[in-house]
Amino acid sequence: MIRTAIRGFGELLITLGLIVLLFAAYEVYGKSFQVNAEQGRLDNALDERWKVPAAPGGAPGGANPVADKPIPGAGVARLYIPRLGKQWVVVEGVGLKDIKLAPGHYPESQMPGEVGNFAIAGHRMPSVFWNLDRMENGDTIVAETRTGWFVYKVAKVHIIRPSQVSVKAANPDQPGTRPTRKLLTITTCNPKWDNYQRLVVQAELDRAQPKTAGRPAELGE
Amino acid sequence: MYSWIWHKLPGGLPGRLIGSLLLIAGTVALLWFVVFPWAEPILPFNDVTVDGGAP
Repeated sequence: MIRTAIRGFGELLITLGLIVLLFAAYEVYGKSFQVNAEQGRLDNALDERWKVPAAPGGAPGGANPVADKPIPGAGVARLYIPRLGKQWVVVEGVGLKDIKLAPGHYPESQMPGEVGNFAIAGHRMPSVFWNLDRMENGDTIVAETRTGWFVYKVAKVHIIRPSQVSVKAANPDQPGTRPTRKLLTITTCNPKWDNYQRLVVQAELDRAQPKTAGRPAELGE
Repeated sequence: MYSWIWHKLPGGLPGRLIGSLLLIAGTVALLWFVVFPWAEPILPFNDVTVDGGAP
């Protein structure tokens, strides 16, 4: 009787351990399917949104302040990282819901190509920023908006505490002062499987080209 | 618990093996598609932003 009880207790503990392991696997691999589906949906929505013409009187393919105003939760730009062989639609906002299945743009930060900082947060999962630690200085990161392509080169890959909010400031070196450079910053969890640090990749604008000039050579094809 | 289930399964050894596999597959599917998606937002593993105070 006692033996049966002890054995049942042991089996219960083993079962709990297996469930936790399975949950860990789900956290990493189970999301890929959902992320890919959501990215496909966001991709189509962004294409639809980008069909609008430039503002009246503006140059063809030019800015349109109404159409380019970010909508929380909807796509604002595409992000390409050739070294990781990946691309995503970046959505507006960094709340848990916003970035559940896509990288998110810190709403208070600037947009691609603007003086300041295009700051992005995304999960450290295989379909998003899993291998971001492989980025090296000089690597290309490309942002695409409705009007143009923005080719950034990685300038710094570093690990910080979650409280170091200055990395997303318009001028990360001296927060609060007027920015002079055009930066792109990606923040994600570090280390993998945990979140007590943040991995930060900072890149600086190398060049920009209008949509009419076609895809940047860095992206191939 | 497991030996009790094993003895309850019908069909001799082949039946018990098939039954066990079905039970395991069912349990994993239930966890993967129902329980984990529900539990995941409640757990604090998904904070990747830099925002100072958030837990």
